Amino acid sequence: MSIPSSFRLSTFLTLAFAVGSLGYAETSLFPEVGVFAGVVLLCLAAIYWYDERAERVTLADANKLGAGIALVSTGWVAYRLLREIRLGEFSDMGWQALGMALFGVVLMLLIPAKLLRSEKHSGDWWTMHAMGLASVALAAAMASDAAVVLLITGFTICGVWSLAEFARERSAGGIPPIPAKGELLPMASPIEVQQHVHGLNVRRCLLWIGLAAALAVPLYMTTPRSASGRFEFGKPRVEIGYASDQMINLKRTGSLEENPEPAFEVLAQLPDGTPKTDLSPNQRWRGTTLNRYDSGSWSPERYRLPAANGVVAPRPTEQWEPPDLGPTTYRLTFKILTQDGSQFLADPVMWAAGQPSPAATLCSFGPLGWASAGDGSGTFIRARCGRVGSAGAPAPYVQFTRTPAEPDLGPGFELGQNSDAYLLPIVANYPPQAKEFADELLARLIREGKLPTEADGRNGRGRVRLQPPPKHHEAIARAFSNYLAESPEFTYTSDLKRNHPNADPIEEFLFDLKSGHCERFAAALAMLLRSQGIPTVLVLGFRGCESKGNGNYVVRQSDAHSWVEALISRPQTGDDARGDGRTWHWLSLDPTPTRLSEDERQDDAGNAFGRVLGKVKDAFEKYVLNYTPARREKVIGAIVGLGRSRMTWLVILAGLGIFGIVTFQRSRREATVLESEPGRWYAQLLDVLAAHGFRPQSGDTPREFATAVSGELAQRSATSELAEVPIEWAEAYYQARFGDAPLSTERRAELEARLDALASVLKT
Amino acid sequence: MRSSAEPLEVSETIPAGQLRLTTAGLTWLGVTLALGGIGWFKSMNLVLILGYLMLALLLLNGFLARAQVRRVSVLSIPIPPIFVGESTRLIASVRNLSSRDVTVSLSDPIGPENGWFVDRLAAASGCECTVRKAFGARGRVVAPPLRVWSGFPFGLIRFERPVTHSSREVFVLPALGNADAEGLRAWVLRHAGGDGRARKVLRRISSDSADVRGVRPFRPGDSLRAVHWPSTARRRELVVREYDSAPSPDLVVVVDPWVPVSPTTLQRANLEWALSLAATVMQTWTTAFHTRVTVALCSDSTSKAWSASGGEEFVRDSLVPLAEVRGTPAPRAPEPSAFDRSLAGAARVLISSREHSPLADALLRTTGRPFVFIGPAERLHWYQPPAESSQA
Repeated sequence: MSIPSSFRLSTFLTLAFAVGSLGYAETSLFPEVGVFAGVVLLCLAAIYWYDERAERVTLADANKLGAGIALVSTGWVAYRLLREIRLGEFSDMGWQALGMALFGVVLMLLIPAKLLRSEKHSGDWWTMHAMGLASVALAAAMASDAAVVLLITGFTICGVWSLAEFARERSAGGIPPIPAKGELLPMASPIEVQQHVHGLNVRRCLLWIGLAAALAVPLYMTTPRSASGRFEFGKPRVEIGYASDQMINLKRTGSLEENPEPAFEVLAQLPDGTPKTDLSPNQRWRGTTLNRYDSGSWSPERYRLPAANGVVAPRPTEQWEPPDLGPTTYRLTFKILTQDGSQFLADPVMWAAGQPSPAATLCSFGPLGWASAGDGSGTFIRARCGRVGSAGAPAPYVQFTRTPAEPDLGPGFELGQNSDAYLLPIVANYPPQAKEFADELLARLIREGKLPTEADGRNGRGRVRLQPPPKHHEAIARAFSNYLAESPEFTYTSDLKRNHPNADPIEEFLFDLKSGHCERFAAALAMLLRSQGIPTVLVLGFRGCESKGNGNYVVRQSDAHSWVEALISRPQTGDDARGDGRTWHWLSLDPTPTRLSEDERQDDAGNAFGRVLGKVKDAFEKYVLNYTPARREKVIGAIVGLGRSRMTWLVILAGLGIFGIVTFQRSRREATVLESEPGRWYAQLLDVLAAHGFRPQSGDTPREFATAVSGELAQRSATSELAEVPIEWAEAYYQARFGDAPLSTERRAELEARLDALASVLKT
Repeated sequence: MRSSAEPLEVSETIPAGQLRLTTAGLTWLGVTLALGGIGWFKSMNLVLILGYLMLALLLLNGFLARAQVRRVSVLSIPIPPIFVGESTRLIASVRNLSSRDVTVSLSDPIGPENGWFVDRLAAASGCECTVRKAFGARGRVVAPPLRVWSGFPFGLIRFERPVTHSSREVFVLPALGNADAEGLRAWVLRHAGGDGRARKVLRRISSDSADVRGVRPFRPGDSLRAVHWPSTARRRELVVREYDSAPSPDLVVVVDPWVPVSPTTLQRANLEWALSLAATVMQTWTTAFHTRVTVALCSDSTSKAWSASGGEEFVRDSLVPLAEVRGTPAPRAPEPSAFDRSLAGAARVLISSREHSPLADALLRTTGRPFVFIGPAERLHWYQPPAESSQA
């Protein structure tokens, strides 16, 4: 039995979108799946093309074909499993997820075999829809890309279309029902069909999907999020965020995901208590410093740098007092929202020699000043109100700071004697290729006049190359940082890749990839500077803040950032030069560029499609991939906010008004159709009766004519039951024509139905 | 006796309908809940959205299915009494009351096996769903009301309501045999009497009961006795006499539906034979001769008698009591009062399902008039019983 073309087309398109979705989603896991999906799509196209032209395979042959495909699939699955056992490529995702991913591919491959079966009953078509849905559900579970959403949207549209056609065919008896167990395939049982309009309006399907989405999306947006973590297929998610015990692993690959959860809140106030509302939107907030680098990994390692003229160590017996930092002093009160013991201070931390610590924890019994790490940097040890590990939210703390004279320069200090030995851990410890790159860069910058000639560290004869002298460290550090940040060679990307897994990640970054995120840039700069003898550490923290008004700011996990602090020196000025005659500063350097990589630039290209795709991608990442409890709260807050707005209610009222007008007009139209002029609808009765020889005599009133006809009809057994119909029509006509009692829709329909019945009886 | 023709089924209130999940809908709901649950628990948001979308489509299906059914009015045309094996037309009239097209199905237990499917009936229009139907067994068929339902658009949820509150009845009359009207008339006049004449007189009258109206050319089938030889000789072609028919008498048929307590197949067949013969005689007599036929049905308690005349349609209604006859082991003869004054000049026949019926004598005693007995063993040259396949 032939299947209607619209049902075939919609079903094939549904399956094609399902295969496309799954193939696209799984290609990142198994590159060969893309080829499989392509082959399956070609098979679908061929089956669709030849389905009506060639003899299709029998059930037995289809089963054999399915078995063959299953065998080949099993071979591929076995190969993948053996490879996984050997290489452990997907050790992060676990066997359960790997098994589902492999099953998805097998499912996809079996679709053509199922389609090839010649005679299909409803169960076969349901099975194909189920296979399509299972494929799409797997694709949705694996989706990490907005393109999958577009494919799934295509599946949904075609699926709804196909389901409607399928239901229609089942109702019309065009598709055989599921046979009972042990029975052969029953023949389709055609049903008496009265069809009045041709073709299913696809626009109607779109309307249904729109209505369904209008219900589904708000439900989804307001559903509380599950406490359990996201089930991940493939590589673990690389998220922009901060953790106090975080180490940097530059070997990670994948797409960086944004986490909009707030990390901490800050209240900025001037000394007189008025809110400070002009905090820089690029303000850096320092958290942890990392100084040990080993083959792509950064970790903290304690080192002691004897810095003189530091801050005054707090004494337990003394009440902490804010330091006097000058006229531009302001106060920041931090409220940390995580429970992991993180601490942050505005960078650079402006402390003053001989003054109390600029930071203090606000305990219930009074403020407790923080102790300095003693290295002249902005690292301070947080004072705790209770014993370590006590439960409860971390106590808020304050930082007193001021606007620095130079934006990235920390306070000056003197280094103690034999400091070189102490500096060794943050000077050495770099990959050899980094020095090669740095030397070439240094030479290049000197050639370009961006650095003085003496900065290359050559001795007088120019033969032996030494480390650049300290007096040029600041210039070199700034030049190197600027180079990485501004050179067109290096670009920022959130899509982390590695081409040479065995190479050192920093060497690969400098010589091959030349693109990455802040950690790669900061790590590369740190290694370049260390290779030139400049002590450097990596700082983890945040950059940026979002003003909430009235001096309140929130810093989110997505603002997490890393940068470099280099220890540079400047000659002491004045007559009080002491020690080595130089003042040391920690200089914050941010080498991360703001340029996007070529791919991402193309994504953001100016064409309309690119912009739409970009918006879809943003929406997908915001509201699907990263739809966190915080974002949900934000959405609900926005909805509540809208509910409080008068404009919203005005729009709703206007919408209801328009809906009412449209409904009213529609009902008027219906009334026009059904309750037209009495004479016009009464003519229907005359037409029906005239067709069977009943015509009014000259001078007959409608009632007289109806009575006469009724009398004749009553004489016939077949029409006796309907003999009253003419009288009913005549009475209705009189009421409508002279009694000012127009016919209701229901009464009109009832009369017409009875007239139809009379007409059909008269025909027999 | 219930009239076979019920009032047209236009109810004042529309019976309430109900929504129910189909098997596919139940499976759909299960898959939806599974997808949604897994998607939520494992924070796979796109899967969760898919689940919600499926749930919304299910709800939309229910809403639209209900709307489709509520937008139509359906009228079921009652079926007049029909004979076993006779084909009749079932008619359901569907009218779309809305300004949008509707898709509904009708299911009728006595209609087509899979019902009717009205696909996208245009706004403010109507259509008729018809099918030819024949019933294989005599009796009163009580059918549940016609139901209108819709699973539009996906068939996952079905909204269904009966068209009326009450069930329908169809009276299936005994199967009709073939009776030669003239043969029957001649037989009746010869054997069953009429107008109070004696049997011998009747035989004579039956042969010259008609006046010669004229002559006409011979047609195949004409009796040679009717040839008018003088005219034939004069015209040199066969010419026959043409008669005016004499008025036929009224007919009284008493049906003796005897069956023992534990009837055999043959005895059941005899009952059907008797009822078929009675129906055939009644139908033939009234349609061919337009005189009154009074039927008396013997039963173990009160016998029924009724009259019919006028035409075939009226005969059908008159035969309705025969539709429900079950047979009785002790039928009683009807009282003379049951026949009104029809016995006076009518021909009288007793049709029985047994070879010897004591009711013939009983009727003679009570009415004082003889009834011609016809039992299963009787060979009637003017009657051909219905084919076996058309009987129960």
